[in-house]
Amino acid sequence: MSTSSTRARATPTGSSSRPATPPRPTSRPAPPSNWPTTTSCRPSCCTIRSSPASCGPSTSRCSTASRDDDGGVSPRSIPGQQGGRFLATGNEHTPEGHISEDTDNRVAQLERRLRKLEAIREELDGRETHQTLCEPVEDADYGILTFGSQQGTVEEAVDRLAADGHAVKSLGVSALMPFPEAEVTTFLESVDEALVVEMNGSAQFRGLVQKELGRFGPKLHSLLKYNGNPFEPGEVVEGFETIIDGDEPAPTTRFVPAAGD
Amino acid sequence: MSAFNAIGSDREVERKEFTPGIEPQATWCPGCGDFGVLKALKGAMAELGRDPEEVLLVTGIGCSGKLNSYFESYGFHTIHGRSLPVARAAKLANPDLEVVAAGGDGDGYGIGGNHFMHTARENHDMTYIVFNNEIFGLTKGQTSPTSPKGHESKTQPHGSAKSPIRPLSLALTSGASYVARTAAVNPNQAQEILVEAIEHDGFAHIDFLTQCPTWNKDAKQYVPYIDVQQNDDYDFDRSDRGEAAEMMQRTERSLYEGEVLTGRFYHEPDRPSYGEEKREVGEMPEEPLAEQYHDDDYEWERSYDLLDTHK
Repeated sequence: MSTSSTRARATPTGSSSRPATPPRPTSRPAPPSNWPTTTSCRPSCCTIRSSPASCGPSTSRCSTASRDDDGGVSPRSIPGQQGGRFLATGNEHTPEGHISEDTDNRVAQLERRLRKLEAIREELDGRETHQTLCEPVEDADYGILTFGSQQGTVEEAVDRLAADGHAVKSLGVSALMPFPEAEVTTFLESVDEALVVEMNGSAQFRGLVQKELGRFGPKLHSLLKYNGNPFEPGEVVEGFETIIDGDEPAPTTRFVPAAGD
Repeated sequence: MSAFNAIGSDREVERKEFTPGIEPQATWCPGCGDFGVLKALKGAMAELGRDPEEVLLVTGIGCSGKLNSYFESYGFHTIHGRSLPVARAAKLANPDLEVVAAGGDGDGYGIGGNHFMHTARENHDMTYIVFNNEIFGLTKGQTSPTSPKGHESKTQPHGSAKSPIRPLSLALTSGASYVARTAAVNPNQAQEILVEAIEHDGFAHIDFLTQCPTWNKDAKQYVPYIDVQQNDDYDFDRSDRGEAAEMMQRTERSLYEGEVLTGRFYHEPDRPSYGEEKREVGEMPEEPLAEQYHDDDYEWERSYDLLDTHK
């Protein structure tokens, strides 16, 4: 593998290379100061901020107003704290943690949980990226999209291709859910065609990208390998050249041309 | 100052404090043995003066898993067979918390049988109540690990071909340091045993016979029961592993012959708990791990930094 000094790695947002370790959090959020001191209504997983009067099962949506801005994440208490009592359950439950099959409650709770995905993605987007851009040449027309253990192999192949005069870059995607929509969109919009390199027979990652972004199918080719051995850089090089010159890829791999969404 | 100000508050606690304001009435069937567990547990906690907020009640799945809906404390209704891993973690992170795990015989001896064995082996300091009704009750009476051989059910229509497991012997062999059996029909003994189990520093296993009048039609009401400590026919030393093992085998066998033996079967008071062992070797801090959560100045370690991946 070539040394990292021969290529410039940049994040899709344009900042410099991936740090050796992600930044560590410096402090924990303080526990909410407004936990109720009474225990007549359990300040449960969801409603520590609600007044006891507003969180009965008959008004299951009652507390959503005060919870709209919390990203679907409840304040947390730890067993042993005065006034922090909760009941956690995997069954659908009221904000107090008691099991409930009420349909309105179910909808409110599920939608609340879905909000977490948006909130997590928003928070991650505000931090150093988890995706790895390998961009040895500027303004590449071609992209290689990959994930997982063949990322390093793909980066080695990109270096070889660039050395051969191809205008190509790669993006290794490390966050699959919630999906880094903005970063992957930016990457795919910046190229004319892309090769999705993955080690399975059914193009699962390409399918995920299409499901999450709902577009780009016409520019996503697949390079699949599923003989039980990991990718070799040469196989990725050959797979890429299939796009350019239409030659057969390595016999250990399968090339699936872009077909649309 | 500790963030866990409910722990060790040392005050008079009334039994009714363990009855939740929401859903105070359990939805178990009339005549269900689970009511006996709930009653005995409330009584034991009040007797010991435990504050509802220093108690964590962790349950599995089944009718028994709803125990913490009807018991006012911190509660965690886990997934099937997994009450023990959650309880263990909570206790390790906050050793002064009073941790009780509970579930059914299918949940604990079947689905989570591995956790039962190894939690006993490691002697985690907690009380584990197994509601033993000899069937899977919530799902309408299928054969469970404790169903007698030949027991007919929807899943074993020609009679179970399997011999039931021996819960007391299993606990002892695995390493539990307190083993008892009680019955829902004997709430006074149940409360006494629960008090002992909660006070015991180590893994206390209670096989709690809970009759299921709805789905186990063969179910005995577990009467008449015999308390082996109060009957001269059963003289054994419960601190002696060999004598305890023999008594347990007799108890397990005789249940299927209509003789319900209950009481304390094994007690090893001095064995260090897993938490004590880990603190002794320096792998757990002396100050509860959970305190770090509320410490704004704490320098957080990353698990990654503790690994030497290519040593």
